[in-house]
Amino acid sequence: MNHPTERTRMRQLVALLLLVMMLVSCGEPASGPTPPPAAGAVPEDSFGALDLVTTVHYDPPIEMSSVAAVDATIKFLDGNDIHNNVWTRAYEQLLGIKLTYQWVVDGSMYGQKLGLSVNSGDIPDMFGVSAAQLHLFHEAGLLADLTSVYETLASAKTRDVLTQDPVSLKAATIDGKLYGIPLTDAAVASAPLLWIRQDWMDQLGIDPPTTMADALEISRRFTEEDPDGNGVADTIGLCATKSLWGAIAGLQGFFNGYHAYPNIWYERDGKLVYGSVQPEMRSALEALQKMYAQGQLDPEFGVKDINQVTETIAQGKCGMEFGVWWNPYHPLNQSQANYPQAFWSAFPIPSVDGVPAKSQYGSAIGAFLVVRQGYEHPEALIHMVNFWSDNILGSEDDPLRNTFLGSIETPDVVLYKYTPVVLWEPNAIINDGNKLRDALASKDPSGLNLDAQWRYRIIQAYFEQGILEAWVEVATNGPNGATTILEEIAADRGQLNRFYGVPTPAMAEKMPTLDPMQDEVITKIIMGDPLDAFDQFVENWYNLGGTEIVEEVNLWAERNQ
Amino acid sequence: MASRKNLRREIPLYVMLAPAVVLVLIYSYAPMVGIVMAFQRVLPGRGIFGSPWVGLDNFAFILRMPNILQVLWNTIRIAGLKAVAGVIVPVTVALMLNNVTSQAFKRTVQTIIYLPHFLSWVILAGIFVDILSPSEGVVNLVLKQVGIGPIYFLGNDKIFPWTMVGTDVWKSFGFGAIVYLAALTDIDPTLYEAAVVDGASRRQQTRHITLPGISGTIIMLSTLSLGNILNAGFDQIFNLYSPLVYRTGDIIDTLVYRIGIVNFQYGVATAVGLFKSVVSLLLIGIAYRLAAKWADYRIF
Repeated sequence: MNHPTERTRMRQLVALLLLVMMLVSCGEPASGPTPPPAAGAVPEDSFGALDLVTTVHYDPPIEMSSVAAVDATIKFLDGNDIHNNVWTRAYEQLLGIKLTYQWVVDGSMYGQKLGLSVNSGDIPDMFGVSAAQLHLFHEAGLLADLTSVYETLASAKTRDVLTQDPVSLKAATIDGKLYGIPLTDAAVASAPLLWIRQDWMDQLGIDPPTTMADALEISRRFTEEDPDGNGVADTIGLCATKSLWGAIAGLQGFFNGYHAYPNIWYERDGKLVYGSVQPEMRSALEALQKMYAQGQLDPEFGVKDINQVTETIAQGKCGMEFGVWWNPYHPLNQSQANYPQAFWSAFPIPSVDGVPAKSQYGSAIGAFLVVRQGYEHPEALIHMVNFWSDNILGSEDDPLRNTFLGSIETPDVVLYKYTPVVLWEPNAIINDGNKLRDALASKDPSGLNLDAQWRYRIIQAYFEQGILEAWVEVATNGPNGATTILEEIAADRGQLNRFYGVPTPAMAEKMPTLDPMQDEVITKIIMGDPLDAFDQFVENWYNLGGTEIVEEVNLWAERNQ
Repeated sequence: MASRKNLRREIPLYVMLAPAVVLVLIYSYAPMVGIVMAFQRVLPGRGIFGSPWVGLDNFAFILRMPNILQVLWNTIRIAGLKAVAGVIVPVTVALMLNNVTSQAFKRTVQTIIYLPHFLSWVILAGIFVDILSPSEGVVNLVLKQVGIGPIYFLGNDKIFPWTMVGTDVWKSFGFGAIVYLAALTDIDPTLYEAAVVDGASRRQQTRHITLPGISGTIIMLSTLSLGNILNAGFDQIFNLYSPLVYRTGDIIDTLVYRIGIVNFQYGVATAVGLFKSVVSLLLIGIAYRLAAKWADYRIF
């Protein structure tokens, strides 16, 4: 229930807040209305003034119990709390649904608490589950069949957002029946890009990389030619963590440059294959090994976790990393603490040969909304989803966004965290970025919503006033920013993980030992073990259960075509 | 007649004991019914009586996992080394402190070595990665001065188990030393006076009076620590291990943690728990028998 995008958006908002403060201190009046929030009592909701679409109004109102996952950063406006807020009031006043939360826990404890709660027979009417729980609860006969209510009641916009990614609904379908509403998100947001210290490239007079050979050369020069000019050989070309993979300083992007796709399943000669054991892995490993031997990787990357790598980045010692589009918001922004000129630019993954490289990514569906078997109003969930998608998605109406999502004046109050019904359009990040770039090109921000207008002003502040901290927004949503690369990836430069089911029996049994074996071999080869160890690993992988897993995954694929 | 009289006199004592017995029954014995989950495929909502019976499948699942024997061996090795070091170091420190005459110095040292016991492994892991670093860590800088190393304490799979033992001892020896110091105060001072009169040296006093005096405590703590032979310290290893040291550093608890992430397998987790409990019970039983036989020591 802890969505990556939600975290990302929080980071964005925090970054925005800082920039807003800076801009205000520059003496620029803020555009848009800034009414001071009324203190004390709960302000009257002005739903009537908004142009809201609803698909139901229960009279008399119905009761619906649910459960809530919140995180430590959740904040409420005066007089509001998780049980009484704009979302609960909107559901009750506009839809006639009285939503109550049986319990509220921290997001990290949600799965565990739900498991205990359901095991003790205390099952909410509507709640969020993981993919594994969806199948487990269905097997136990706890979930209502949503097929017919979805077919008859889902609005056009709801259908649109749920079918943009063809996998979404399939992931919630068991034996031809729909048991959950997938909480969609932007899958491509997890695709790796290559981030490079632009100021170092300028310092050394290096051109942007187009091939893997270029990238390796940049890494070498960053390590050997003292790009920070402090006279000490303390810089490293490429950052990596001990867990090898991830959204920050993960190595999967490096492997993608060699057409290798570790940890995911993709089609090859008509069958699904496991990327970690394909021959392309070997040449990527060979390159990494060479880089390590020449001091271009942290000699101790094998024991450093994400926090320690963030420290390296903050100390201005790291020149390159493979990571996702939001990395400038965290941790790359840390570089500026010591080096105000630091600027990271995103590049598409370069390729080792003439064939363009593809960034690997997986399904973004982390959770599903389900209804308890026996609840009298399973259709109420569909109406709540309709309310979200009809009114929130794609809306540029500022009063509406301020009411339901959060206002730029109170950036730490994220209103949509109060409801479990939150779906994002798979292409939202790319579309938002493009709208912003169009406005920048035509110098006309009038068509943007308030949030986008702030981003517009931040990017302007970088170019016109030289406010260096604003590079974060420039690197992501500015001209040639990271989101332009996401568009390319979504079009034809992505390698999607083709397996999105729950772990097969052999996976559940073998992966907990096969995964560490893989990571151990890869780390050791990078640090100097002979490359033959990889061939040995591939053989072991198949012998220790891999063969069985491949069979099961292909059987699954046949059933889910 | 006498026994009935005794019984009447003891009734208030039994009444006072009753709440404790009831609590133990409710909170320690009643939950043992849950052990049945080790033999089920636990389905949510059906509870521990409605879930399908799968016999020994959960145990077979664990045994079929590749590397399970290696993991078991890692666990026993690390836990065993910790148990041995966890007796020797605190006893030695306690003996040394016992011979210190300055009370202020003794108290200060006692407090300082006791402090790490309260720090969580999450915090200590960050500190150890820094001070054990081969290139910048304090420990390796010192070793370099005397011509050793650098030693890759956390990244070399031959050294990693010893690093775990060393850091664990560092964290807990202060706590252990206090227990032994308490035992030392129980020794009759006249024994030492008599020994001095007989011309015994400090070393001879330690060997023939002090050690036999605290041997009961040593045996008791060693026996109890055998029950932990399959607990090699999840917090510590989970925070400090890395792919580099999986071969020697992966233990049962970290493996179960990864199984848990893949799926909500309550049945498998319970089976592992049951297995660990049975092994612990056996080992404590055997150790207790041996202690009773050779050292004439009885806990019960």
